[in-house]
Amino acid sequence: MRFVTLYLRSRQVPAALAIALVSAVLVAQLRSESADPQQGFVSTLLALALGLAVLGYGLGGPDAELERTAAIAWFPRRAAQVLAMAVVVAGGVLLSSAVPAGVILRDAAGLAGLTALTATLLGRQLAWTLPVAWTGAATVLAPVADAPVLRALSWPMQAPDDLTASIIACGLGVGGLVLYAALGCRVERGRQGS
Amino acid sequence: MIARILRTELRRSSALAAGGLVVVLGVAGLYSMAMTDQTDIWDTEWTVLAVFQRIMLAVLWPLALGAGAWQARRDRRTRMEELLSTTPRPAWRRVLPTSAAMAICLTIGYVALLAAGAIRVAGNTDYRPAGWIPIALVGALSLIAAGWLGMGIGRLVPSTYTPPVLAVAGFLVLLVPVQVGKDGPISNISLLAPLFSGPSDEFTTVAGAVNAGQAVWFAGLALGGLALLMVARRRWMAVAAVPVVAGLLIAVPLLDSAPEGGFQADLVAASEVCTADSGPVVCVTKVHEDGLSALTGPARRALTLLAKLPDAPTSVHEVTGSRPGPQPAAEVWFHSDNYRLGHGWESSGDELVVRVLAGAGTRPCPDQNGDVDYRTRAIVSAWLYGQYPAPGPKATGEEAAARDAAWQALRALPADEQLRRVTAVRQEGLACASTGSGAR
Amino acid sequence: MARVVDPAELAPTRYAWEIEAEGLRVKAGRRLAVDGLDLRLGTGVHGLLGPNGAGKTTLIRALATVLPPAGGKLELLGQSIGGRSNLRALRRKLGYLPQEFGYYPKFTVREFVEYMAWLKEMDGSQIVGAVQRAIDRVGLTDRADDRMKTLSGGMLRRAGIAQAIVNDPDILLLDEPTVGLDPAQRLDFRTLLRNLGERACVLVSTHLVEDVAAVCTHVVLMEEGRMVFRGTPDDLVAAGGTGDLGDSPIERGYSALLARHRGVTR
Repeated sequence: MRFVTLYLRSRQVPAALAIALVSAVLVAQLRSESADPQQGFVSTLLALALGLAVLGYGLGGPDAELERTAAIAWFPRRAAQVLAMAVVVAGGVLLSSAVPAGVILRDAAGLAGLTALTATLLGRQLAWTLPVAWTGAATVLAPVADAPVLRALSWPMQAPDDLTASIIACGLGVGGLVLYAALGCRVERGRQGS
Repeated sequence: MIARILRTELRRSSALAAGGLVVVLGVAGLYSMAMTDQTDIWDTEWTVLAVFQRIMLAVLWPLALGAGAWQARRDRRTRMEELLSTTPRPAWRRVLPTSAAMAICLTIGYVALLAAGAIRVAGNTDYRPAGWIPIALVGALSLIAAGWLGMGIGRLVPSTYTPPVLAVAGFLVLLVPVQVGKDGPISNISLLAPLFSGPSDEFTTVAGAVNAGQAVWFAGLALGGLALLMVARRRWMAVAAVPVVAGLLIAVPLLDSAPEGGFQADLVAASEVCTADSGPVVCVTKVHEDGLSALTGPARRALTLLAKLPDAPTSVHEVTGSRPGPQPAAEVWFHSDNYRLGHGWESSGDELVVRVLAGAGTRPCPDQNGDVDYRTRAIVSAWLYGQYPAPGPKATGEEAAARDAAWQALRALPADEQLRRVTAVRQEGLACASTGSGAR
Repeated sequence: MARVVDPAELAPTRYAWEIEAEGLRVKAGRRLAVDGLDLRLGTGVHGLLGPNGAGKTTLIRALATVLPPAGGKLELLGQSIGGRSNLRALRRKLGYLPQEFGYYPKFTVREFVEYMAWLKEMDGSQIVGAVQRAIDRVGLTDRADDRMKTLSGGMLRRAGIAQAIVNDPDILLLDEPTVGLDPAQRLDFRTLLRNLGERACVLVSTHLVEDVAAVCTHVVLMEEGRMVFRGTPDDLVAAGGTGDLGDSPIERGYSALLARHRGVTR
């Protein structure tokens, strides 16, 4: 237990957790009771993206090279962190939004994988960029998406029973999880502060 | 020397990445419409492109906010703050190159995006108005405001989480519309966002008051963000509220005086260009000028065919759907939806003649339910042309059977009764008030 | 390479000591790290020694005008620091290398030193020449156009020294400047320091006593926020004997002085 506490504190996760949960819950409640279900959908989705983006900073430690030299097995621990991230944010949003649970769980899984993937590719400082950008673009694109490709790109906004969206979410979730767990956060050459 | 520093900042700061992001996402957005062949949502004409690009700011604006916040954290992230505090140059002069670099890169990104769209637009139309320039300029200004505001807020709250929170807040502010405007005393408050409510067509433009009001508002936002960056002590950051509030106070009355949604009819685009030779006058709208030569022949044939009617018309005019009635008896009105920019008239030759003859030379007129009686228009057109079925798109199934029946019924009548019926249809069309769109 | 000499530099100075402190107290966070320090430093190379936590870095930060003094008197180049003084004129003549050297990783060495020169309000027409000179003096000429994130630790330190000396400062404050330098580079660095010490007041805080012995004309030993010893390196050597801890005479002198101070205060 001590390891977990120290590990989380080294990545500033407790503070991030508070910020992520509070902001996600607040955002998800925006316009959730409005007449237009689309708007509730949009704010829920953005709440998920925000929560995951904030927690994405904790996917990397202050010295990635040092952690790489550790003797412990990183794969299960990193995987557990990504899963915990997804569960926590999904839970918070589920409690405060009227959007169907299937959509929230699917989008949380896909976006968590995307956050982990971005952390591997761009480092922990920029792990928020792809999830936020993709979610934002999807919310704008979805109403005018007719072609299958565009519908696939706006997968977070699709209905719960949409097969393509579920496949993409699964793919991103699993792929991002595995890649991050195997490779860890990107090592920044040159000291990077907070 | 400041030029060298500016060059360094342009190359090494994240301003370049922000500008690149604008171009990449924007171009992807524009050309993704090509996948469903919906590019005519933006590529018909210059004003349409400028307006659609503003709609794309829904994604670009919040990301510019996030990029600005990211840029502002550079000193803290790289632990330069201590060294910087020992230098004599005051903070407000120190941030000038970074801010300028961000503004330049975002503007160049927006202009490059415009250029990418312009490639298609230039191929579609030769009509070169100037009204789209203010629309695009205000769009670029709003992007600069987003960048500077993001930088200012990033300096005000230098937490690691500021960039993502700011980006998501930007999306929320733009996508979850404020209901205040709909019911409250101030309408058009949604125009404070850089977006427009929907794409336009070649006959609408943005009201000048809207451009001016938005320009003032975004200039105020930009200056407020810059002020946040420049103040030396944190307690003076309240001064940044001054340009924002001033911009708001000037902008809101201007925006309020504009029509709903900010759009208004583009009178220049709808003005007429007519034939100048000796035959009967044929006019098209200025924006469809390229189609004048193609229309002239069929239009004049249509006029000779319409000569059977009493009070026969003597000229053909292309009009927009929003032109108010009633139609003068001496004119044939041809709806502008029959022309697609970049493609020409929907038909040519005899089919075009038949189109002009539809409804005996009147616009489609919707009744209380919004339905247009295309069947009667087609029958009348065939009668005037002298051949049933007339050249052009054919009806199928039930509609074809109904039209056959109507045609037989008409031909069964005595000749002057037929003429009276057709004239009655024309009279009804002449009395029609302004219509929506519809091209049959 | 000649440089343009400002006539103001040749005018006689109106102060006796570049750095003058009396009863200086500086807080680091909530702790009083410098407690009643008296100091008078003029032109030359001065070494600042002391155990960790003695307040060396806090003292240097106070001299660099990063931290305001909490009490006592501090005068730099004749200007009194503390309260709401305008430090811009003073900072133009200051050079500082922090212990934790922060830098912009994407900038090249030349761009970074140019940027720091611009921040120190150097005359625009002279910046390019001064930057080249500074880079040459620290021996980074062949890496001048490489990005800073590609440099090794020692080279980064040298880049930090370059930005500190680019404006030919009258007060040069170097906190652990030789970290990561190999022995040959340390020799070059000592030569550089001797050159700089001819015209400026250089204060070097370091743990490497051999550097102090070789270069410094004057040594200050700090412990627990106070000055324990000041004198020449020879005086430091003379203070120690064969019974004290250390592998070299100066190390023995250092530990002897510290033991004496601790014995007195305990």
